[in-house]
Amino acid sequence: MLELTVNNHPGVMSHVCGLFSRRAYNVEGILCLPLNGSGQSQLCLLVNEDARLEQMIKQLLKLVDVRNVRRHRVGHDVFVKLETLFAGARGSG
Amino acid sequence: MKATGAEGLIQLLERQGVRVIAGIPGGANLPLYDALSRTTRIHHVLARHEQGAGFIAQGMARVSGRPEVCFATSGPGATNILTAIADAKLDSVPVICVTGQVPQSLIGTDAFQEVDTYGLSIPLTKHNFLVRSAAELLEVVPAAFRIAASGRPGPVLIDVPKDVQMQSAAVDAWPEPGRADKRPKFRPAKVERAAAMINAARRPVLYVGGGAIQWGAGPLVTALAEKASLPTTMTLMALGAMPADHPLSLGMLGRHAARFTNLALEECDLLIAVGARFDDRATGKVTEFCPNAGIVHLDIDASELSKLKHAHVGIVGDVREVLEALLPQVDATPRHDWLARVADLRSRHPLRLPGAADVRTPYGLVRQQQDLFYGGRVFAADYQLHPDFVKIAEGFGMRAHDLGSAADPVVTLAAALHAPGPCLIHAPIDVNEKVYPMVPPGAANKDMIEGETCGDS
Repeated sequence: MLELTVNNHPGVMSHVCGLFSRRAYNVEGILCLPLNGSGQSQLCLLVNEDARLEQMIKQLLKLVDVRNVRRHRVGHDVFVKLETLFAGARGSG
Repeated sequence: MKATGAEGLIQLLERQGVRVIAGIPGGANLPLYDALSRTTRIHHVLARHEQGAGFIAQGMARVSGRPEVCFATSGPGATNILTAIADAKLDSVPVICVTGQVPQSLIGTDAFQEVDTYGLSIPLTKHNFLVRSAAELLEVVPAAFRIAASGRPGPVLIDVPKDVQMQSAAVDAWPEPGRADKRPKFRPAKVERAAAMINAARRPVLYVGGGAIQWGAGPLVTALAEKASLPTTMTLMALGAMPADHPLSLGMLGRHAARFTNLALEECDLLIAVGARFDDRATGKVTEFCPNAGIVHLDIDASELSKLKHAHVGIVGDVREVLEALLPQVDATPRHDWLARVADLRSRHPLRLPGAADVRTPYGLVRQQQDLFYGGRVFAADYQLHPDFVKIAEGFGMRAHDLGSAADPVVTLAAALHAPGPCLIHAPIDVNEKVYPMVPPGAANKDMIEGETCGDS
């Protein structure tokens, strides 16, 4: 999972997603939330690790609106929790 | 003080030191042009097509080394200019493109001459902005110039809706002009390792790219090559970094290089890449490029290091600063054996261009590829009508010369190049001439075809 800190404005998602889509690098999951009062957002991307990931991170760091990129190894629980939450919502709905 | 967005933008460009803008007015950028008409400090060049305006700005930026500006209107103006912007991105040229956009109230309604310029330009620019208020311009314009000029340069697009151009805003103080950020600091230990690799190498080659031109490092490249006796190859973007007739120059590499250049690269045991990006036209099949070489790679863009070839030493920095640090640590070496080997390759596999003695010798491409790689099925490689380009140029009020009918084409060409102002040089092409030698698409550089012998050299 990649955890990005980005400037919060309408074009940021396009910039980030465009990097992945033009390289046919599938993003399996996306979670984006504003960081309170900072004008920035936290963007979590669930991606498959392959040989291109290093280059993707370097390219992400070149985007002006991407302030920081952290790489988490497999098993980070944000998306696991989200999955549980979705399953719960489906169950109760 | 109050100013409209258009007035503010022109004022900000003036404060950046912009003195020439190329562009074309249209419905969505007329307020900008109205403001431009009221300044005497900026000269406007009216282009015939937005792509031309974009390339004019690009040409100015290549010469001045600083960001230069072009204007286009919304919709077709924007789509037309994007080819020049994409080219500036690939060649790392700092261009600021200001496009008009339909008023914000109409954005997203498929309005007249509306296209998503912001969305279109994301993959073609280093960065882009859609300006949402006149006040925002005070931040956006200096930021655009800073981004275009910092690190690896590139184009920045500013899309300005018409209502933002007309909106009045209070300006308390003008911001400082945007300037390039400080260059990244590099680690001295890495320079030491690079120097050690160069000193230990027996058959090194220096591979120079556009970064050397961008940072004015040509003289340093030449000094390094001379001190360490490094045969030097240049990419298209680096031509001029070392004089073409320098004894260490191998000329360009790759697809249409001289055979000896590609063969020298094949044998090298160390490749020193300076501001170059291992472009596929330069490397050929990349897994077979410099198969026995260690790689030292200097570049200001960290994402270029090990992108296509693993860099044994990679240094992120302004290549001029890195070379300045590297030069004193590199041993002065004659490298007699290696230079003799390269001289031997050069004499046995020289550059043989058919008809090189005649400046009019043409080199075609599509027909050649269809001939060679598509079973000779030449298709869509000829026009039924052959326009008289000399007459067309004359119709534009330009001088024009026809080398085909000139008594002495060399004299005519020299005269054309030396006279000031625009000029068209018409050079008729024999459709059957081919560009040899060449590396077939997908092949390794050592596997060049043709050009080994030819009649007239």
